[in-house]
Amino acid sequence: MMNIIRADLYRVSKSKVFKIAVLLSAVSAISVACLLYLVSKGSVAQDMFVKFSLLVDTFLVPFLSSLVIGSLISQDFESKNIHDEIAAGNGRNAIVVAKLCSSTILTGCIVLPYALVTVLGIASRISFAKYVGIPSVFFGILGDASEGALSGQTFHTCIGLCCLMVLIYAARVSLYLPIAFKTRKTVPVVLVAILSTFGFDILYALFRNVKGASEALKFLPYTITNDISLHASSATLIEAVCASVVFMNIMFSITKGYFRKAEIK
Amino acid sequence: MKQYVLQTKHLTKKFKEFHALLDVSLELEKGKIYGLIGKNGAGKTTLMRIISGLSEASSGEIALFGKSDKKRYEKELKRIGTLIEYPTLNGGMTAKENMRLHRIIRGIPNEEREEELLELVGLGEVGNKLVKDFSLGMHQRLGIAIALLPSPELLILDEPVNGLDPVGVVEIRTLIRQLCEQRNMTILISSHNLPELYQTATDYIIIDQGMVKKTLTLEQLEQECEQYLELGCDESEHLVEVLERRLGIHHYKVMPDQKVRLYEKKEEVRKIVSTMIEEGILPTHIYTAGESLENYFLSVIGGE
Repeated sequence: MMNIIRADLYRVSKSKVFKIAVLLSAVSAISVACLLYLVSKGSVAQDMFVKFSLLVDTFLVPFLSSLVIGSLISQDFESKNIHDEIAAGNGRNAIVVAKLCSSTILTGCIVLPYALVTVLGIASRISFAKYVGIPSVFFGILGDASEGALSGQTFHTCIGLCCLMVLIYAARVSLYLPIAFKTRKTVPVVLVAILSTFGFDILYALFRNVKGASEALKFLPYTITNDISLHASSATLIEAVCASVVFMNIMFSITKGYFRKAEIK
Repeated sequence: MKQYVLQTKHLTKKFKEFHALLDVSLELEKGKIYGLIGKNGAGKTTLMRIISGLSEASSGEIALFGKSDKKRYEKELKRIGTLIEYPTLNGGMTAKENMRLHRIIRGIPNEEREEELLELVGLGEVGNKLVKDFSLGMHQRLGIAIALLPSPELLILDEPVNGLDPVGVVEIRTLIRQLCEQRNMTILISSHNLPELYQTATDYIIIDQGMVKKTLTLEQLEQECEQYLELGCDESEHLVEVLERRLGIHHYKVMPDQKVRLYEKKEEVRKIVSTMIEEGILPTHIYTAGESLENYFLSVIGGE
């Protein structure tokens, strides 16, 4: 299993898609942080947020990670690497676990620039405006932390929240696994990524007043981020961790169930 | 005692109502080159895919190095190398990088193996070239090099000389024989072309419509395709006695229709006929014949 993860990382290190994705993520994170700084200084009007909305992690991370993970898994089938992965004595479950781990690591790399910009922004004690528009936990934290005095505990909480966001994004990305294993193509994975980014929020808004449905939707690694901030309770954070882990497990089981008996061309 | 690398018992693979494989029972011995021969769609690739763990049989048993339990079978897959259909490699990577990727997947530590195998398949000088710029033959060679990475005890090659030029075909054929002789490797190699396999394999498995029609050794195949002189007369027992006593012919076969097939001294037709007449045997039928490899293959699978 470790060999598959190492091989995935080796292959991705040679891939332009991944390098561009990380670069784009870094440029976007820095751009949005600069915008927040300029807004807080009053140099730029708040309506500029609309123009930068596509650069916020909420939209960009699922899009980029779906592109990277979709192409990683579809290429596995196209280039028949999967033949060797099976012939190397890896059970099919182990292959799915390895792909889940690789996806998590790659998502971490794409989220990392946002996390770093947030942590460095807070540590710099520069003042940032709150992002208005698309909800972003990273930029929400950055704005919140700028408001009061920075204590050691606040700083640690910020780092913890960034780690939690990596886990939440990894859980979201696990949704792409069954799609990638089933379709063996990148485009459907990207489409699902785009739809799921806003789809769950729309569903939550529609079913907010329906008992059961709203609670179920809230226990997903999508709408749960609405409650995550510097002031979130421990219960909320634990709930977010549990929701992510459970969601990843469900996606793993679905993928495993499909791939266990799948024909490999 | 015979050492079996692979054993299958009543292996069947069904796709809805279509039987891709039906009741296939085989035993592959260590150190032999098996030619799996059949028309397109006969079930060759399906069988290889099941052996390689890429597909699951609908019923029947399969044991690799004596292990049939699913978990153990998966572990034993480490001891095989496969090249199923055309190798579709990572085009954006060089030959060396492709080798490295597969070495990592296999968990093989020694890097020197990459160069060594590229040299072995004749790609030593193009190791740093992007695979997308490779010809079909070069793809095929790289596919074979990748299949050889784990130093397999069983090598499965599905139509490995497809796309190779005549020189390449000879080189790969020589390489396959060397691997078998020097490393005691068992090789299962498929083709739809019997004459091509005739120059490589030591044993043959003829498959058609998902069923194994015949398994035979090289000697048996040569015997089946050997030229012979067929003699017909009313007294075949007497003829056989005369052939042995007067002409010293011992390599013959009496067919069910009482015709006698001679496999030696078949060019001495005049002498044979005159001896028969001297002994009072009247020939009713004299015919020189022999199966070509193609005709033999067609006769086994029931073609014309």
